[in-house]
Amino acid sequence: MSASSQIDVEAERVRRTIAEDVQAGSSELVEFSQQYARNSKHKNAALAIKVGASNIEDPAIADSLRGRMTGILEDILVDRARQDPSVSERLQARERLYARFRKEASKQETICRLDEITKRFKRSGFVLGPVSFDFRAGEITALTGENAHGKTTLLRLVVGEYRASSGSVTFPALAPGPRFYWSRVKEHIGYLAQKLPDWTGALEDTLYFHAAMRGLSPPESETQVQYLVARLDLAEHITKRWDELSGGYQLRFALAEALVGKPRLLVLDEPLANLDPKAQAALLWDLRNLAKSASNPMAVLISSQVLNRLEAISDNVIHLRKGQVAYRGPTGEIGSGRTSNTYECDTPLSQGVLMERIGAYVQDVRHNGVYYIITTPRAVSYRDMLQLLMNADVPFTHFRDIGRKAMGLFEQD
Amino acid sequence: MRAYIAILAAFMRRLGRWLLLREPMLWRAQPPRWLVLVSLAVIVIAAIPLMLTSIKVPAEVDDLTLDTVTIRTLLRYGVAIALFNWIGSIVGKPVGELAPRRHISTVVAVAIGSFVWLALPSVLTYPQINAIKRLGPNDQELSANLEAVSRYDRWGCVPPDVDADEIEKLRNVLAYYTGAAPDLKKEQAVSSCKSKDFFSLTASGAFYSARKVIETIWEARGFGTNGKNQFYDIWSKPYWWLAFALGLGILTAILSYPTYVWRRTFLRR
Repeated sequence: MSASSQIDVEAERVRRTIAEDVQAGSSELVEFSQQYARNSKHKNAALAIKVGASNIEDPAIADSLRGRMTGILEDILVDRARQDPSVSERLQARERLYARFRKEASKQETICRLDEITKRFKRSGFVLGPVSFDFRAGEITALTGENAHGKTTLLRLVVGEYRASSGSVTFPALAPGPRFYWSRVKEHIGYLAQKLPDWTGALEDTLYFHAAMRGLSPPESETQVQYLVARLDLAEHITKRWDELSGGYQLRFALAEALVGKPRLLVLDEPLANLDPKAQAALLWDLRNLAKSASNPMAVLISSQVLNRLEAISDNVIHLRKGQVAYRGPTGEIGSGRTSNTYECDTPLSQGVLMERIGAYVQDVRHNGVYYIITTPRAVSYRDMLQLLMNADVPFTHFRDIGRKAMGLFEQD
Repeated sequence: MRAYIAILAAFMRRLGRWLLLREPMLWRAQPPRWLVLVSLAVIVIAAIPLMLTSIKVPAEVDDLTLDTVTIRTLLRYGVAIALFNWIGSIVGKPVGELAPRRHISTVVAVAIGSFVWLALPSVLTYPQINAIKRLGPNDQELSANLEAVSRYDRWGCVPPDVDADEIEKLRNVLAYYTGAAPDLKKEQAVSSCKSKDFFSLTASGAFYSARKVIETIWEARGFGTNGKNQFYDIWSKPYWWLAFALGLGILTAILSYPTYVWRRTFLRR
C-alpha cells in the first residue's frame, strides 16, 4: 500500500471514531496529527481539543467539537497534499492560471472612449453632450435619464449608427489610434437595439450564422451557441418561429445573438422593458457574470428605467438630463456632493397632513405621482428621518433613501 | 423517384449546414434552395416544347418554334421574379456593417446565379434548334423550295405560261412543308397584276405557312452565323448579360449595408 493510501485509510478510521465517540476520536486525532501533520499548529489544535473533550455531557458541545476535529483532520490532509510534489505542481499551475486571469481581468482596458462627443439634430434642435467617458473591460455602465433625453442617441453614437457632430469616439483596445474602420471594430461589439429587428428563418440557424460571421470555427460555433442556448434558457423555444416567441424570449434570442462571438463591448438599449421581474434579475445577474468573466471581460453599457435592479449590478452611472450629463461616475459615489438628503416615502396621508406633522424638520415635501419625495438638510440621516416619521405618527409602507441612488438623480430633474 | 428526392433533400441540408458554419455569407444566399431548385425548375420548363412535340416532319416546326419562343419569354419573366425574391431574401437577412471584402461572396453568388438563370432559357433552346435544323431536305433543295414558294409574289399573280406540271410540283412542296396537299386551282388574278392574262392560285395561306417553315429551318441551320433572325436574341450580347448579372450582385451587396452606414458616410449624420 502506498503512503498516500495508508494516510487515507487512517484518516477514514479517525473520521469514523470521531463520529461515534468524541473522546476516543480526540485521542485518535492527536495520534494522527503527531504522525502525519506537517504544521505544528494542527498538532497543538488536536491536543487542545483532546484536553477540552474530557467529560463532555452536552450533545451540542460534542457536535461542535466533532466539527472542529473533522476540520483539523481535513486541514492536515490538504496541507500534506499541497506539499506532495505532484499535487503541489498542479496547484501551482492552477494558481498561475488564476493569477493570469486575474491580471488580465484587472487590466481594465478601455474598450471605448468618448471624448467631448456631441450630437446636434438640426430639425428638432436637440443637442446631446458634450459627453466624455471611458468604458472599461469588466465594468458595467448604466445609462439613465428620462425618455427623449438622449440615451438612445448616445448608444447609437457608441455603436456607429450616428456620426458625432463634434468630439470623437475611439476604441483603444480594439483599434489603437484615432482612425479606425467601423466594420472591424463592430466585429467586437454586441448591440441590442430598443426595437428588435424581426428574424427570418430558423432561430438556431440565425445564431450559428452570427457565430460564423464573428469568425468562430465550426466547433467553436457549436460550443458557443449551445452554451448561450442553455444559459439563456432558450432550448425549449429554439424550434419556434420568431413571431411565435413572446417579447421576453425575442429579447433573449437577440441577446444571445449579441453575445455570440464574445464581444468586448456590449451595448443594450432598454433590454429589461419586456421582461418579468424574475427574468430581469436573471438577465442582470448573467450580464454581471459575463462582464466580469476572467477569460473575456466585457465593457457593458446598458440603458434602462428599472433603476433599482440596474444600479445593483452597475459599476458606473451616466445620467442624462435634456441631453446634458447630469452625473457620470461610480455608482457608489452618486450623491456624494449633495447638500441635502432625499427620501422616498409611501403613506396614505395627504400632503397637507404630512407637512403638518414633519414640515418643521424637512426642507420640502412633494408627491411625484407614486411616492412622497422628502428633502431634508444633509445632517438629517436615514435613521433620524425614520425616527422622525415614527415620532410624528406617520404611517408608511415604503421608505427609502434615494439621495445616493440613481433614482435621486431623477428627482433632481 | 422518392429515393432521388430524399437523396437530393439530404444533400441540400448537408450542404446548407456546411455553408452555414464555414461560409456564412454564401449560406445567406441560400444556394441549395435557390440556385439548385430554381435552375431545376427552369430546365424542366424549358424542356416542355420538346416533350410536347415529336418533331419528325417539317409541318411541326411552326408549333415547336412558337412554343420555344413563348416559353423562353415566359421563363425570362419567371427568372426576373425569382431574382427579385432571391435578392430580397438575401437582403432580408441583416449582417450589420461589414468590410466590403466580406460581401464578395454575395456578389459572386448573385452574379453567377442570375447569369445562369438568364442564360438557361436560351441555352435550353439549343435542343429545339437542333431538332428543327435536322428536318427538311439538304440546303440546295431547301433553297429551291423556298424560291418556288416565294416566286411570283406569293402566287397572287401567276403568269399564264406556268403549266400544270409546275403547279403540281408546287402542290407537293406545299404538302411537304404544311402537312396537307392543297387543291390549287386557277382563278382570275387581282387587278394589280402586271398583265390581264395573269391568274392567281387558291390556298395562298399554305404558301405563307410553307415559306415560314422553310425560313425557320433555314435560320436554324444558319443559327449563330447567319445574321439576325428569330433565334438571334438567344445569344445576342452575352457580355451585357454578364455585366447585368454582376451589377445585380453588386447591388445586392450595396443593399446589404445598413442605411445608417450610407447616412454616416455620405450625409455625415
